Amino acid sequence: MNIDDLKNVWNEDVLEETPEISIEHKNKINLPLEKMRKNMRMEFWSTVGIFIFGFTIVWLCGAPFKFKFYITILLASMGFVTFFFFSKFFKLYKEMSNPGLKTYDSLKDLLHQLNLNKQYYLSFYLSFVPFLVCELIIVIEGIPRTVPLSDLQIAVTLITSVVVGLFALYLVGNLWFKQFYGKYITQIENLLNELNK
Amino acid sequence: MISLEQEFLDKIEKHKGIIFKISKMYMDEKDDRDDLFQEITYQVWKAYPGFKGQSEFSTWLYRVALNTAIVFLKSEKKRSFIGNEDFSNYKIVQDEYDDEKEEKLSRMYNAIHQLNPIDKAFIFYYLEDFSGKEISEQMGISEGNVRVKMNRAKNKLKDILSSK
Repeated sequence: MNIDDLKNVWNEDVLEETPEISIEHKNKINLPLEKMRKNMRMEFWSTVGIFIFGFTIVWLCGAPFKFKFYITILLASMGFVTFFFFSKFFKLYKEMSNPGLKTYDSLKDLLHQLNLNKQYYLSFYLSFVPFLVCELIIVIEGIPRTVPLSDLQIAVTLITSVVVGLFALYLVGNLWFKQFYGKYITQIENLLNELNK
Repeated sequence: MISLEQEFLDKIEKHKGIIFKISKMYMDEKDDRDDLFQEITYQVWKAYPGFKGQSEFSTWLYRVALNTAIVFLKSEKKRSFIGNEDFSNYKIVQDEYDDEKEEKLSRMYNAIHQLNPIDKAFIFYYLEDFSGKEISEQMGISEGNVRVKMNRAKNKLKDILSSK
């Protein structure tokens, strides 16, 4: 069979039996966007779980009231920021994807939206840095000690914790993003490159 | 008065054969093919209010169908090993090969499955007799680029077919 015969073979393929048409979504997840949406939902609920765990630990530990109160306020603020970002993520995912556009434009639009989402995600991660620093300060200052820490000890503890914390946040954030979101962005990029080549 | 849903269903009914052919081009497993068929129908329905009638419905439908198929991901579920395999499938496959026409179809689809998603789209337009200008409008690239990519996709397919 050569390439010229293909048109005849194609035209001979008259299908008598096709699956039944349904315009309801069957909750099958086969599009990159849906995979990302599902991952984001999973991430949202995990974050809610972490917050509940955090509040519980703070109020069950035997620390002074002032310490508990400061940490609770901080956690509540983190919760507010998290809620804000996730509402943006979900809104973005809802509006994303326009398969009615020309193929190149449709892929380009999808990639643009995904990259926009990536920037949101980066901002979300970075927004935790001030909270991390505040928590450290509260822990250092709020917990009573028999022998108070010297200025040098405070500086070393704070700087080391911030540097290690930031590094861990960067590593985990990067790996997490690549695993749950980045690979789908790469797929779309590859398709666009294939069209541009 | 005919509802939007009914109007859509009437239109899509006439083209369900071609949607399934696109699904066959893009997916080699039956379950994935059926999933893609449903996904395309769903995406076309979602995009339908945006169809302004500036082109033929079929032309617009092909574009939405291919845009969906290009990014469609295969099911991640593990294919069962022989112990749990549904043997009735083998019977169907055997029956298909009884007929020369079916064998040709099988060879064609097997060859197309080895192309990348973008090349498959070009081959689809070639098989459906779209002109370079029409393909250019559908894909959103220049006619010159269409010619280059079409030749490349056809050559790849030719190589696959001749190597068998």
